[in-house]
Amino acid sequence: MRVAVIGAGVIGLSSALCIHEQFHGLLPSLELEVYADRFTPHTTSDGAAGLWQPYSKDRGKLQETLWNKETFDYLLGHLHSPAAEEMGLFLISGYNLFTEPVPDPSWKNIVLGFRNVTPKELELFPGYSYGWFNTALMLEGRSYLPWLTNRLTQRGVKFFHKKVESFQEVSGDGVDVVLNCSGVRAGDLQPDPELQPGRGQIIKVLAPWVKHFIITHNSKSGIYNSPYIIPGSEFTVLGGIYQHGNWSEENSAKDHKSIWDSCCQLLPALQKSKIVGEWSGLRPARPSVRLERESIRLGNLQAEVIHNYGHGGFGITIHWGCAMAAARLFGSILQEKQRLARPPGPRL
Amino acid sequence: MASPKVAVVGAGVIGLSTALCITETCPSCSVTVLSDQFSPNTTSDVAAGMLIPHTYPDTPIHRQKQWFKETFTYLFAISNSREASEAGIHLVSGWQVFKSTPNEEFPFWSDIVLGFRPMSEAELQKFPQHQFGQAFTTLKCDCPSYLLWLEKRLKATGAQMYTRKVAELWELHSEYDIVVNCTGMGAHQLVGDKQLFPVRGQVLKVHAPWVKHFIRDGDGLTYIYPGIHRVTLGGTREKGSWSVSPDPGTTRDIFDRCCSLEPSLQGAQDIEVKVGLRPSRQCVRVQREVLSQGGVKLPVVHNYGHGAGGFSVHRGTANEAAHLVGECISALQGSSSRAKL
Repeated sequence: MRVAVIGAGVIGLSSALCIHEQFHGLLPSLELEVYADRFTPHTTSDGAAGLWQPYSKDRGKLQETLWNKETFDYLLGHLHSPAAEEMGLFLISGYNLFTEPVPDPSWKNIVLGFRNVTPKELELFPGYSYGWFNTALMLEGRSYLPWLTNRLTQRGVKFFHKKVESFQEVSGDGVDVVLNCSGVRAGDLQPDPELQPGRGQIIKVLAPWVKHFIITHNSKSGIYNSPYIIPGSEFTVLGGIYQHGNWSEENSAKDHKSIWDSCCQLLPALQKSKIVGEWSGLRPARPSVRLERESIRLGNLQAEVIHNYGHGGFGITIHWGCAMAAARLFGSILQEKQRLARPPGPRL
Repeated sequence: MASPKVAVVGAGVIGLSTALCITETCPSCSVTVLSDQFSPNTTSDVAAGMLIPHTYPDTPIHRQKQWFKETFTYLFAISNSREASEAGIHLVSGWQVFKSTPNEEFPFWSDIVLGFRPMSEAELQKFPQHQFGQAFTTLKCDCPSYLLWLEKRLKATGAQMYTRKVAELWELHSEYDIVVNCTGMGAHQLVGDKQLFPVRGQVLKVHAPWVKHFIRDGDGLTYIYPGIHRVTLGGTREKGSWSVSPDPGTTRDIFDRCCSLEPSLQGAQDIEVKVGLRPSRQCVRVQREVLSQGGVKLPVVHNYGHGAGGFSVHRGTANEAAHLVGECISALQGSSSRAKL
């Protein structure tokens, strides 16, 4: 049984690992191959700060909330394991700030210690009159993706540095299942008008005195278009850009100034921090995550495709729940193939 | 008295902050800091600088609370300013955990720190050996940044600083009008205060930048305090020990205890071991005294004996000491029989 995974970001690698972990024992002939034109540290997942946090406004999708919870619980369970540091996994607390009271988020009971920001704390953030404080997790892509790659390599999974232009390209070769984790460029494989880039830009600075994430919200400008500060293990990420439909991966001077000015206003001491990098990436935005099977007819062959893309700005937040769901879809494909392979006759 | 000459003896957090307060409350004073040690060789440089107060048995609680509140308010404003990183002041959140529920669920300082609340069941799962806990957000003074920043502020006021070992306070009577004694552990010898005793603390300073929270065992012996560049792991409280040499067995023990609270510390790098003697006393001595010999008087203000709580109350006691200096000046101005060389 050959499975081709397209995409080596957090979704592709974690789905591959999840499937291999669950099915390799049952199916020793299982061969997994990962195809991607970009590997760590050049994927979208590598640029993301790595904070576990779903959008503040519920998209009304219970399924996504469940996948987010599954991911949080899975990561929390790994927090004390020896692998945590290598995975880039650690606890982090911080603030979500608003200009007016808002309903509690769907994830308030998933994170730890969720509470409102006190009036005294709000003195630190002039212009914001309401907020949340909670403890969540960081999972840094720069560490997590290499960790996933090592686990997969140990399991004999092969990697191919190749831009896949069509499903036929991989499925024609005796591949039974294709796992489509191609993120923002899934539209190149199969048109999907619902999938759009949500362009983001970030500035990386050295500000090791910052121990909390600070995420501001502005209902008028929309998600991620308001300044945010997320301290990582090596540098702090300053951001606050979300441009729907913009495919540019070039850093923009205008966006740089907007991020810098707004973050320094939030935390004046940042003015003295040293800038060590800048990056632009394309969030694979979609009204809902596409996680479903599709049978694709290619000539006289039929290939099963499992789509797993469109995770917007919450890929790391939701990845493991989606990987498990993809593995369940894989399981149902296996069952069907076994049923077809079984000779007809009375069942024992 | 046009320009009273004030000598502050001691250049740890108490000496420097007291000197700074004096320049603020008495701009006409000429302030000089004298110390045999300056940062990075003071006791303050070893301390983690966490704003979690120590309770002094013989100081009234309302006074300790006032000291802590003044200190917290002062540092809170700095943490929120452009100066924060240079001054080494930053907010940090975390947990104080107890193996058995403490008698006092809400310590006197719980309404001064931010967001103080009992930990939830889910949060306590991270600490399987502990039954109860408190979550809050407080401030940390990263030494030596803070001391260097205090020195810089002092220099800007025109205050002078000299390396000098003062053998007895009286030796300063001819050069200075008022002496402020902020000698910490040095007061044991300098003024013969037998109520002052060392409580030895050994700590490790490690590189573990993924640790973003403080964790403190309510017994005060095991703690993890993330600073700007290093995480302080502690510690010990050895009453009466004067040894300033690191003990390797203690290092191993501290590391093990901290790893059991935070397993990821196994990956910590570049372990540095430090020792400090907390200048401990049943109550902090913030008090005026007048030394006299042969008809000559020397007003002294004492500000020492902060033990484990120096950073937590430093600004509050500095304010009080500066106020006492003001009283000394008034007394001197009122007196007509002071002869000066």
